[in-house]
Amino acid sequence: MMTRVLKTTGIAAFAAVLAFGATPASAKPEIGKPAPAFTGVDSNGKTWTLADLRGKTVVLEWTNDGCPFVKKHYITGNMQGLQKSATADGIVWLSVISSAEGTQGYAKGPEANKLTEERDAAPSAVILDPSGEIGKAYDAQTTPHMYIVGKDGTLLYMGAIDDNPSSDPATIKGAKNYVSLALAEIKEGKPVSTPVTRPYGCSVKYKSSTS
Amino acid sequence: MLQAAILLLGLFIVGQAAIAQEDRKVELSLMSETATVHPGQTLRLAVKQTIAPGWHTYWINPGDAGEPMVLDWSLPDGFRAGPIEWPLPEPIPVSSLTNYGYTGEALFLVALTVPEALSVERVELSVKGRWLVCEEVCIPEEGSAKLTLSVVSGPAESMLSSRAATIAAAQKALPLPSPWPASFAADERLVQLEIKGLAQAVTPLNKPMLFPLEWGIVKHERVQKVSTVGRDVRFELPRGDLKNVPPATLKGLLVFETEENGVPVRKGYWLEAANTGMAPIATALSSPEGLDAAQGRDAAGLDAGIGLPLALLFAVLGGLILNLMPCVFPVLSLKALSLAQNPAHGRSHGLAYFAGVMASFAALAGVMLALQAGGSAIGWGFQFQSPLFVLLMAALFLALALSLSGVFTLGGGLMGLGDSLARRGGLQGSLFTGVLAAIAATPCTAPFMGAALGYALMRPAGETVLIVLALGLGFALPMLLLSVTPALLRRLPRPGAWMETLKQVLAFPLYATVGWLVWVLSVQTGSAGVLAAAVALTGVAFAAWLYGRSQQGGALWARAAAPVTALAVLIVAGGLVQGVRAPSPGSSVAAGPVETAEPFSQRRLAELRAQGRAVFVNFTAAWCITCKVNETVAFSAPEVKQAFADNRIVYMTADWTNYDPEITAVLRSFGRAGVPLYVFYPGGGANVEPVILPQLLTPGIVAASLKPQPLTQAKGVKPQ
Repeated sequence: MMTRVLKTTGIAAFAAVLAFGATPASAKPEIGKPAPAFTGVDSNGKTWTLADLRGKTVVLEWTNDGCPFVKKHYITGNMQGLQKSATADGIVWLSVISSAEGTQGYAKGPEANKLTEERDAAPSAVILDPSGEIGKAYDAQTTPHMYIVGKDGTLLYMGAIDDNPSSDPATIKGAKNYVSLALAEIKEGKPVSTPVTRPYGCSVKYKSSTS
Repeated sequence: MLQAAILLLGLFIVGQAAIAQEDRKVELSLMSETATVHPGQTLRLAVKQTIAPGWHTYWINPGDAGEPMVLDWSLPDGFRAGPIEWPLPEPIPVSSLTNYGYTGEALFLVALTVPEALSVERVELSVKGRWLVCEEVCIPEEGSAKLTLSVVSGPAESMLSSRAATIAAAQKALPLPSPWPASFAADERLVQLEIKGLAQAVTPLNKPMLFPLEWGIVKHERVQKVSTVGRDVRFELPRGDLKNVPPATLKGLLVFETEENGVPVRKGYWLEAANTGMAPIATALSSPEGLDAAQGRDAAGLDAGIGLPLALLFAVLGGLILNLMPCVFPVLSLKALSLAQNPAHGRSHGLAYFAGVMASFAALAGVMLALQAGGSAIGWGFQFQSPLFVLLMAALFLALALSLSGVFTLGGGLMGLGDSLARRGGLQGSLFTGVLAAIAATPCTAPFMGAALGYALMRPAGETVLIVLALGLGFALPMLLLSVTPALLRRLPRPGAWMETLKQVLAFPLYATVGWLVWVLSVQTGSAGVLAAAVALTGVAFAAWLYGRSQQGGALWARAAAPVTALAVLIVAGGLVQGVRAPSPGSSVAAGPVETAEPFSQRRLAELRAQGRAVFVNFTAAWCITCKVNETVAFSAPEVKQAFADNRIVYMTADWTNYDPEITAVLRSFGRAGVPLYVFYPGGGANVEPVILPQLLTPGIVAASLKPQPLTQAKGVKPQ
C-alpha cells in the first residue's frame, strides 16, 4: 500500500521537476521595508556599503551609457541636473552599472570616470557591478531604473525616472519626474505619494547563463 | 558661405539618414486587404515589421523592458485609422528578464474607415512608425510606409489585393475574448488565477501562458506555474511590484498551443479576471464540477469516488469497527453482559437494540440531508460542532457514569441493567442503548468510514440514506448476532457479584469521556464554556444524588425535584454556552511533530507549495477521538519529528472543532465528510499530487510517507 503511494508521489514529483524545476525564493525589494543591503566598489576603487550610509538619503540609478533611454536623459542634461541638485542637498547619488563584461554599458573604472567627465555627470560615485549582484538584489530591470533609500535604510521609491516611457528625447519636456517629486516629498518629511512605478528602458545587460 | 555651410549640413544629414537606412533592424511596410477603396467602407490595413534575425520588437505590454510601437498616420480628409490590433506575442528571454514581443515578421492590423463622401480618384495612405528594436542592445528606430489605393464608387467594384489572404490569416490569428470565466485571488506574494472550463474545452492544451496586459499585478515571468484542476486551469503567478493597492481586475492575454483538425495552432484569448478575494480552490469546490476535481488518492488506493457497492461495504466495515471506539465500548460491554444474564429474552432485546441503532442512524441521515438541502456544508460529526450538543452529551455521560457508580439506579434501566431486563421497560432500555451508542459513536470516524461517508454526502439523497443505514447495520451487527445466537451468549461469563464491580469500574471511562467533552467545550467556547459545563455538571450530580436518595426511601418530593433541577440547570448552562465562541479556535491539537503548527488556509498552502515546500496538513477536531489518538501516538514519535525536520516539512493543522466552511470544502475535495484526514503535499510545486495517509496512523506509516523523494530533492534543475 505504502509502496504504491510512494510510487505515485515519485512520479508526480518527477513530473513537477521536469515541468518547473526548482524556483528559489528570494527576497525582493519592497517599499517600506529595509532596502537590500549591498557592498560595491566604485570607479575609483572605493568601497561603498549601504549600511554605512545610514542617516543619508541614497539614490540608486541603474545606467548603461549605450542605452537610448539613458541617452535621452543625458543628452538633454536631465539626469545631470537631478544629480547636481540632489548631491547639493546632501543626498548620496550612486549610479550603478550592472552590465556584464562584453555587454553594452560595461565599463572599467577609468572608462566610467571618463564618461562622467564627458557627460558632465555628477553622481557621488559610479558603482561597478559587472556580476549583477547588486542589480539582482534590487531586481533592477531597466536602464534607467531608479531607487530611493531613506535615511533609516528603508526603501522609499522604486521605478521609472519619469512618466514618459519613450526613448525620444523630445518627451522629457512635460514629463512628470517621479524621482525629483519623491526627493522633494522626502525633504519635506512627507510620505512619497507615488512610491512604485513601472520602470522603463533597455533591459539591464546582466551576465547571462545564471538564473 | 552660409549657404554652403547649410548645404554641407544638409548633405551630412542626408548621408546620416542613408547610413541609418542601411543599418536598420526593422523594415516597415504597409498593405491593404483591398486594392481599391469605396466610400463608407471599413477595410483592414496591415503594418508589417520585418525584423532582423536575433532582434525583437515589443507587444503592447513590452514586459520587463522595451517599448511598444507607436503609429502616426497621415491620411486624406475624413479617413480614420483605428488602434493597433496586436498579434500574439511571444515571451523573449533577455538574461534573467522577460520581454514580450515579436521576432521575424509581425503584422499589426489597423481598421481604416473611409468617409461617405469621396471625390478623388486615388488616396495616399501614409504611416510613420516609431519603435524600439533590441537584441542585447536596443535601438530606437523610425520608419514610414505608403500605399496608394484607387477609389471606386461601390462595393461591387472593390477588388481584393494580393495581400488579402495574408491579412485574413493575421485577422484569424488575432486574440478573441475569452469564453471561459476567470477569477483570481492575490496575497503579498502570489496571484492565483483560475480559468473555468478551459482544460475541458481545449485538448490538447500545450504551453499555456498568461501575458499580463498591465504592469505591476503579476511579474513577467516566462516560466509560469500552471496546473489543471479537473476542468479548470490554474495559474500561480508571482505578485508584481504594485502592492499598495489590491488589484480589482487582472487583464491579460491567454495564449496556448492546440490542434485544430489535426493542425497545430497557437490561440490567444483576452481575459479579464475579477478579484474574488478568496482562495480560488474554495470557489471551485462550491460548484458540482469542482468535486470531480479531487486529485487525491486514498492510501488504500481508493479514488475519491468509490462507487456504491464499495461504499456500502466500507460503511458496514466502518460500523463494525466503531464498536471498539472508547466512547462506545463501555456502553456496549455492559449491554452484552445484561443480555447474558437472561439469554431467554436475548433475541427480543437484541432486536430492540438494533431498532434503536437503525432509528438513530436514519434520523442522522435525515438531519444531514435536511441541513444539506438548507445549503449548509456539513460533515460527519457535525453535531459536535455545536457547543450546546457537547454540553448535553457531557451531562448525559455524567448521569450514566453516576448511575454506574451507584449514586442512583435508572428506572427501567436506560442501560437495561440487572433485573430491569425482565421487565417490560427493558425493551425500551435496549432501544435506548442503541440510540445512546449511536450518539456516542459519532465523534469517532472509524477507518473505512471516511471514504464511505464522503461518498454518501456527495450522492443523491437515496444513496446517502442507504450508506448511513449500512453504517448503522455494521454498528449494530455484533450485538445483534450476540443476542440471536444463544450459543454465543452462553459463552459469556456467568452473572454474579463481580458484575457490580465491573459496572463501577466501567463508570470511569465514562467520567473520562465527560472530562474530554468539557475540554472540547473549552476549545470551542473558551473559559465561559467551561463555567457553563461546571454549572451543568454540578447540577446533574446534585439531581442524581437527590434522585438516588429518593430511591432509597427518601421524600417523594425529592424524586420529583430531581429531574426538574437537572432540567433547570441544563437550561441555564445551555443559555450560558450558546453564542459563546472561542476568540481563537485552532488550539485543539494535542501534539505535533514540530514546535509550531501553522493554522491551515488555502492561500498559505498555495503559497508554500508554490515555493516548492513540502506541507503536511492535519485535518482534526477537538471532539475527534481518532484524531487525538493519532496525534499522540504517531505525531510525537521521535522518528516522525526527525522526518519533519529533515525534510523541512511545514506542518499545518486544519481545526474543524467549530464549523469552518473552508475546511469543509477542502475535506469534500478529498471526498471526505469528516476528520481525521491527513494529507501530505510533497515539495516541488503546486502540481505535485498530494498523498493521503490512512485514518489510523502509526509512527512508521507517517515516517514512511514523508520519506524524501529523490526526485523532489533535485536542485538546480533549469526550467526549460
